[in-house]
Amino acid sequence: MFLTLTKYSFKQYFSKKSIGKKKIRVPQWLTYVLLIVFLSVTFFSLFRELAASLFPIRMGWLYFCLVMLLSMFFMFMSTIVLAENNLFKSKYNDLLLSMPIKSSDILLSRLLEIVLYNYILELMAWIPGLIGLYFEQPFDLGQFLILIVALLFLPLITVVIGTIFGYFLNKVTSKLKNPQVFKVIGTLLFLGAYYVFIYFSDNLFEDILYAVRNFETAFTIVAPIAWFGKAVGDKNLLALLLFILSNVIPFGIMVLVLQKDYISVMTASQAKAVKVYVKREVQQKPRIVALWMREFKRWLNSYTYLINTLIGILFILAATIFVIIKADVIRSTMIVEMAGFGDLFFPVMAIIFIEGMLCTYMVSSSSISLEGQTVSQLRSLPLTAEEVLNSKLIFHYSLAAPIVLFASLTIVIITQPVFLLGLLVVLVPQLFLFITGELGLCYNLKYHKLDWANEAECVKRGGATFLSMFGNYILMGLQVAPILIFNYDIEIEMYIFYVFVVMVVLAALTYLLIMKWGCRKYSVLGE
Amino acid sequence: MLRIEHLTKKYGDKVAVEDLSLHIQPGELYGFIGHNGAGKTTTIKCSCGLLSFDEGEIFVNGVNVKDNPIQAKRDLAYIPDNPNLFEYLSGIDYLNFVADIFEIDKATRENKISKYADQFELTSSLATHISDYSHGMKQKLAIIAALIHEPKLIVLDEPFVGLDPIATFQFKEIMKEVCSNGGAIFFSTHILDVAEKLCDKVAIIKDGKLIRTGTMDEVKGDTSLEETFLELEKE
Repeated sequence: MFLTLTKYSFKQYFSKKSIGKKKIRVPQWLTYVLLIVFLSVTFFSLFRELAASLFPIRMGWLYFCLVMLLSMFFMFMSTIVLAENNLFKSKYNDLLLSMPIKSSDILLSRLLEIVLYNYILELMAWIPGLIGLYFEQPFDLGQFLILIVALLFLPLITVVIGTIFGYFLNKVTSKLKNPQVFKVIGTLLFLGAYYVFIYFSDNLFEDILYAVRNFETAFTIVAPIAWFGKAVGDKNLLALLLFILSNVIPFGIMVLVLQKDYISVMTASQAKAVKVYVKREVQQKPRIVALWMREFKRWLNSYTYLINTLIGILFILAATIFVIIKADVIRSTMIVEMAGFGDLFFPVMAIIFIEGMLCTYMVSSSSISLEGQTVSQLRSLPLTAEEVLNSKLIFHYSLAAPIVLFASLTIVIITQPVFLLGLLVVLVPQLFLFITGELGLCYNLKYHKLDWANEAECVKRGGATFLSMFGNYILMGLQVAPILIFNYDIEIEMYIFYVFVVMVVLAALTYLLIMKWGCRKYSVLGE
Repeated sequence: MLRIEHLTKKYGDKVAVEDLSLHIQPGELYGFIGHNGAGKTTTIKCSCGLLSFDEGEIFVNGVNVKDNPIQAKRDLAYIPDNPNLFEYLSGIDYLNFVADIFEIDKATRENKISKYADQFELTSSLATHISDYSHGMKQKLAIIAALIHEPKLIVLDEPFVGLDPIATFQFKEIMKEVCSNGGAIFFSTHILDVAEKLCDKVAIIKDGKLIRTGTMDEVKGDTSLEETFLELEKE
């Protein structure tokens, strides 16, 4: 029974439906490859530097500990989400419980799924880690074999810790009236920590080297980490055995505890916070406002949708605040230092930065797919296709426009460029925002997926989202390329003005396309 | 109120509905029965402007669904068999959204929401997200939303699925009330007892073709609707 369950749980990853239509596979897989390459290169450079510092002073074991910690971090974060969704509130709980299947088999098949998924995440740190090591330090077969054995057991302890966190996360969110906010704040804190780590990584490694003795003491206290380092770094088999036991025993205890009453665990999370309706005065809204509010509430109530759209905007906001704080430095230093480009440098870079961040702002590119099975409901109402599509465009634009405007105005006020350039710094990013919304909507009208089971299928893994992101980068690249090709030797103000004019034409043509072709596509959605 | 003339709908080579004609007059409660896959939902969706069709014409209150779908939709309400409502909205948000789309004034919507939500015992749950509703609660909410703009025609696909006995009874009373006020109701159902007791007229569809239609007495004769249906299915 356990094997049957495991086989079917893995079918979701390999079924044609989850892979998607042939048409959208190429950009999707291309993005995965690019993402892996990007992360691998980032971690490779970090680890290579670390290996070069640690091995000459016979602290190789510390290197393995640090790579291990990074891989554990990846696994931990995914386990929390997987544990919450798969172990505690899977939508298939009722179905499986209604069948003559032992709850322990359900538990074990789900744990195996999480462990196997973690092996993939583990490799994200270890492949660049090993390549970085290969360039700096000879690595013998014995050491490699010990590492493989250790890595086979490493996910177990991570699954234990992640599952405990996932359990409490599930407990807390089920009691909250708006659990999405809690999850979004948590994710943003995580991302903040990640970027702080990357930003300060150079100093961090220097600090590690200075305080290396203290680190040794610290890692010795956290015994399993030290055992891992000693096992792989020093080829210490006793340390390997202790490390394996330190993974297997907690995992075994967790399985025994959960197995004891897994039915209660599966069904306990169904209790939810209840809002009692209090009659309030209602407001009659114009249809377009009602449609906008509907889009907004969908955005606000979907963790996946929210977090995928927020990052770019928040980066713009954070950078703007940084610019305000460093206003004096920018005025006095940067403008003077960028003499080759004169005082135009900062306003031009601001446009490019804002556009770069907006490339990852994906609202309209999944807004059609997100209608899902409710598209019939929407189409049964007396709404024209123009109204619906306009509401999606307006929502895409209005959500980010105030922050983009704030960023542009900040740049204008601080750098005080000439009037035309100042105007373009305000208008070009707004226009870019609008066009990316239009293009995203076009992609999604063309490549939509309405039969999804999880929003992530269209928000994170949707073909239209990937196409939109690449399309946005290409659009931005086309604007920047002439500046680089001519090595800044162009009349920059006039160039940006021409870009602006071309973008106005592009925006108008794309809008016409949506109103003709797009409306036709919308009017047969779901048929 | 609903006039379907020679409707033909194909899915590729497969003919789902063939040359189907039906006339539903104001005040009529019209049942639509047939086995699974007979073409009921396709006919209903075509009538509501949700599916394009290959041949024929459909008129809602005299308005051609093909030529003027928005005007036609203003006069009708559609309740699907599986109420896939906007789950990210609360019940009250959904009702207000529908009311906004139909441009219902504040006083009327407050009155309607209050009346029907109380009647279906849904008032206390209106602040809850639809995603947390049971199937029956979603069905009740879909019914309330359908009644907010006082449609001239209500088209329902299996409306009683998931409703508790009290809600079923109340909804049947509401259906009668809508028809007595000059509206019309066209609904599909597999519950033949309900259709027999409730409907003025009934149409039986088999393999996309209308095989029997008329008043309840004309269709079933001296036997029950169930017996008539089973006999027709055997032919």
